[in-house]
Amino acid sequence: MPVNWDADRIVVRGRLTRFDELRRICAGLFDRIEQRGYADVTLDFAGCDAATEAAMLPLLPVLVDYRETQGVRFELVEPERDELRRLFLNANWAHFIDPERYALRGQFAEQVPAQRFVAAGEMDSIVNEVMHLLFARMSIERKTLTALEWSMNEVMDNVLSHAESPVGGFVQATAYDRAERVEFVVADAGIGVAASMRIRDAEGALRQAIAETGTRDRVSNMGNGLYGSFRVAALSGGEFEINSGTGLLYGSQRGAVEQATKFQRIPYKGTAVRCGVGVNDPDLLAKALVFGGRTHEPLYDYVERRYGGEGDEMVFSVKDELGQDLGSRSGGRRARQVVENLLREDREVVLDFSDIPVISSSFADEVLGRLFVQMGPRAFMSRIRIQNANPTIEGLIDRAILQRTRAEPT
Amino acid sequence: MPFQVEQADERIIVRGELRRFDQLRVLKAALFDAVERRGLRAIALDFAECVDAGQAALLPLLPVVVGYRESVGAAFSLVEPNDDALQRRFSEANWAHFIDPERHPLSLPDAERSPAQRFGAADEIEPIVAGVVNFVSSQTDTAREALAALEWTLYELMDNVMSHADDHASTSDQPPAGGFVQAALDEQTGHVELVVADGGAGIAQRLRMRRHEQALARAVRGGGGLQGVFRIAELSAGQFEINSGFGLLHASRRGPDAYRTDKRRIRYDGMAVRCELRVDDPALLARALELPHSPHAPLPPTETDAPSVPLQAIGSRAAGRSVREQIEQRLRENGRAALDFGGIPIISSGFADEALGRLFAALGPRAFMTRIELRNANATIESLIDRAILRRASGDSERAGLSA
Repeated sequence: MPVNWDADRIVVRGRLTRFDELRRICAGLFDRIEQRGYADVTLDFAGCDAATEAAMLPLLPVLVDYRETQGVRFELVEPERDELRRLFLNANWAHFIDPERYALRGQFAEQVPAQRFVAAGEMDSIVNEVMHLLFARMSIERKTLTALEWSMNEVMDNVLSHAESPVGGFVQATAYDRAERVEFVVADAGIGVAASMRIRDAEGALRQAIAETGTRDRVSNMGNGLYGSFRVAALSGGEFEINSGTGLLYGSQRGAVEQATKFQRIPYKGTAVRCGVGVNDPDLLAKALVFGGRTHEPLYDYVERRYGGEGDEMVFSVKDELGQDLGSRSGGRRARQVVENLLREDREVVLDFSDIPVISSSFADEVLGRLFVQMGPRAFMSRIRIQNANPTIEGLIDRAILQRTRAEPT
Repeated sequence: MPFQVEQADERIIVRGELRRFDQLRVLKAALFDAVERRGLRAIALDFAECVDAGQAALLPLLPVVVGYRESVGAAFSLVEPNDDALQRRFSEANWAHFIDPERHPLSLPDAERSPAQRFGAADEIEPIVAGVVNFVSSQTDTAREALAALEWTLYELMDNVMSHADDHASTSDQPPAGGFVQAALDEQTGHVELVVADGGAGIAQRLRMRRHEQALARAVRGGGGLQGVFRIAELSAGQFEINSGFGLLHASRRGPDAYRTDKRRIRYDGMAVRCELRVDDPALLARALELPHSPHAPLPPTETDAPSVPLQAIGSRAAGRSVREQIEQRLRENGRAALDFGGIPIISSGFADEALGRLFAALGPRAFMTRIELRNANATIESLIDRAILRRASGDSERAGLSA
């Protein structure tokens, strides 16, 4: 992936998928802005063939920092490849490069786009958004989701508590459902891990950051964020990567290693953490979140907050969950995925149709027809409770169940 | 001495070994000739020179003999085998009794023996099944719960006979002889051999088909109860044999023969089924029926005050109909009804279809879900209910209701 610069233009060609390649862009930015004093810089991605959040998300705090602290303006030349161009727009990369031309976008199918957070409240709502995306998108163990939630919270909280980043933090999460993997990337433009830990050696600081501290608050296990996140990634068969300054640590099932890379001596101003987690190990949480020899079980996790009922049941509110999306088959598919994930617990699942006047046939088929056939009548009857459905909806549900049963004879 | 049947005046003489159904057809032809052609009403069945006999041939003889006695008043006397052991077997297996009840008493089943038994009504099925299961259970030291395939097969075959009897009654003025059942344990292979025979309407008549072997093929492949029994035998590496009218199918562990017609054109009215099954595999039934396997186990129901319908019989369509009527009565009175399967190891498919499959089809999914409460059903029963409901709901009423 060659990165070249000439006058006010930085040109990126080929594939931009690894953090190390981003360091080369950082060098270009440093040279053009800090050495040559350019205040208007064009980022030319026309010849870029592929880009991932692993490299693109950590670019955003760098650019926003230049813009907000030094008044630099960036102009984006979009990738020529149509698919990649859409990704730049949908993932909000285009927006954070040139906010005047590109509007901020919300969540879409398989990813929560890049977002910026500067306060705890923003962080919470982003984490909830990511949890919701994953739960409706993938077949995922609740405890894996809880481990992911814990990790995201920890890594993002590090930004707010320790990084002293003038632009706050940036985060992006993606569900790779075929690979059964989730990845989130968090980056800031702060002082770096070494400085915040008051350690001179960049890599020694990273090593220490992902080691168990054994101190801090035993109840919340604050302070063990990077250690826990590293274990969640590594023990799930995923990968963990942290870049800070000139430091780099890469972790997988085989442990954490310093990998000398081509552009490693180009400093990254701030810290970027990438955490890839395999989603189908029900014991992940029990294995990974062990502090001082004891498993940490977060008490009030996303699933409990969102679906916990007054008793032992899980409540799926059709209105809250689907909003305007009640008519579409894809909305139905997401709803079925949520219900299937909820059913992994041995608890009754309540489908609450309050304030829903009518449902589409495709929703009824996708959720109730298919679940009925998939679970079998008896399990369906004893584990799914339908509540507050008006007679029209009841009729549509009956119809969907019977039609789906006829379509898939035993 | 080879098997041989000879007619001499009012005597039918059986010599040699009588072990196979195709040999029985020869004996049946002789009886037909004596009773229906020559009009004899007093016949001696002479087994003196018979050296060996097995239930595969003798049990299907019983509905023929009993049928002639009860329909045209023919009287049969038995000349017992000279061989002592065989004579004892005739007596202990009740073959002697059903040939000549006045001279030979009925012996009752116990933990040591499972003799031929006759049944003529749906409510006679369950006590007989319980007896056979008890016999196999004590002989093989296997718990009743692990004998689900055996119990289900017995219900299936015997309930099938009752459906034949209904059809027979609707098409004939002759009283049917009902059904006969006998079970034996093969100590060498560990198989249980079941033979069930009746003198009712044959399969072709029941399915209104002219070609007997085609009717048989449809009954065995058509997804009804016989297909399940066939699979159980197949998965047990046991034999499966069915004879009805001119049609016959014999499947052994070397694979099934094609469906054939008896070349001698000797007709067996009614149907005889023989099947061998293993009793050492508790999962046999689930595998044979490919019972729907839900990734989610049903949760125990929240107990309500829904009035419970007592479950006295679960072995037949008739019992299922009666339960459905009682449930419907409770629904009319209370809007809800409960069924408690506590202590019941298995239900017959005919029961599941009549009681719950049809109820589901009549009420619709939501009303069924909210008004019917099923309590204490074990996993096998839950699966059989699932299967019955899915068949009814899929509109596949032919397969759902077809037992033969």
